Amino acid sequence: MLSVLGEATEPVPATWVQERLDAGLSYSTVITILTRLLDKKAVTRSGSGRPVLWQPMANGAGLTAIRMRRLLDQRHDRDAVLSSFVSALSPHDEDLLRSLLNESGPEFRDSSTDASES
Amino acid sequence: MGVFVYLPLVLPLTALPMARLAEQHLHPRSAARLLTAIAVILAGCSTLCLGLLVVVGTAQLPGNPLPDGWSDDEVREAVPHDRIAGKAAIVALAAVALGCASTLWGHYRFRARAHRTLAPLSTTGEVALLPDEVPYAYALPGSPGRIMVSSSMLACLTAAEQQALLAHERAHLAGRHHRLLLAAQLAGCANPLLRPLRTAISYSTERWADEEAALHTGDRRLTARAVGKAALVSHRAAAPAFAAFAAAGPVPRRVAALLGPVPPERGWPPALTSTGIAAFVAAAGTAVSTLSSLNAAFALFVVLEAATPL
Repeated sequence: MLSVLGEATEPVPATWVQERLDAGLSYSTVITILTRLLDKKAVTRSGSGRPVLWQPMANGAGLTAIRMRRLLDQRHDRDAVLSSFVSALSPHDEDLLRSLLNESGPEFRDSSTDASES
Repeated sequence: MGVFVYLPLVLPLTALPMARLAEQHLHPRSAARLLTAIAVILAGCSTLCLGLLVVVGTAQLPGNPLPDGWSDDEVREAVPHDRIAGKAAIVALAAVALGCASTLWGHYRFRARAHRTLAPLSTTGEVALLPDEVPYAYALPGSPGRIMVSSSMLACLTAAEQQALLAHERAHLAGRHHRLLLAAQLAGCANPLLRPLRTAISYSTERWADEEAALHTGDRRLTARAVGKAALVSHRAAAPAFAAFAAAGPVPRRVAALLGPVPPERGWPPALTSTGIAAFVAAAGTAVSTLSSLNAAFALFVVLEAATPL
């Protein structure tokens, strides 16, 4: 559904999507799926009157990022295959880490404030 | 064969002190390789003995396809408590096979799906930059391997720290750390007593990649800052999933290690330290496990050959 929608160069009505899907879905099914994607913030809806126009929230790299996010959210599978750069911190770890980094040099304090503001 | 067939099932316990101490006193590369080798050998011996028990257990089941002579008293006397152990071994070996198969299947399925997801990206280079507000960085094994890093993760690091992060992930791919981790996972499926080794091996590979990144950037403090900042940013993004622990988690230990001196390269710890003793216990356990399982296999082979009608 998202890849079909991604081919569109401008916001399109649901019938446009339905025609290009090979699955032979009914109009109401297409609307249901689009609404679910809207809840997941993968698509946006525009146009006040009818027909309502749909477009993907992101295209290209953005779309890949959304799909990858969904894959990475399967934590069990992910942790079995990927080594994350950093693992989760407990509150105690966070304090310990801050004191370690503050000891390591003044550069950290400046750059970490930048990061928290951005 | 007697009790030797049961020894390799419990000898993985001898590797546990080593799993706890290796990270503190060995170079992470040696620790990761040594622990993986120990885990694989112990898991192999444990599975071999389970297999031997299954042969004896199956021969006693009515309607089994094995030669009738294999259920004779001579064979059964070779294994203490053969009735219970034989049946339990059938269940255990089935669980081991199922666990290993599902681990392998899950591993390769996830990798294939991740590579498929990355395929539409315009860049086919090593680094896949994904515009995402959740900060993350992962090394995705494969041929070629990819580094997946989100835009928000890079945004919180300076250019030099980004280089440290990428060097860390490249070290994972170049060192094929996923193979060690997969081996550790399979060993944990083969014998649950080996599961603590997986945590130790996983930590050692992270430390190994940290050391490689520090070598690449030539600045240990810079690498420590990159790890620390990335962890703090990820922590802000994700709600803490568990309550406070008294012991320091892996990230502060990694940062502290990077702020400390370069770990010595020597392969084997000095004999009269706690690590040296732990290494000796693990090595002795592994050797005894190998000898016991070979002894048991050979003994069963001789007994079964004698019991097989020609």
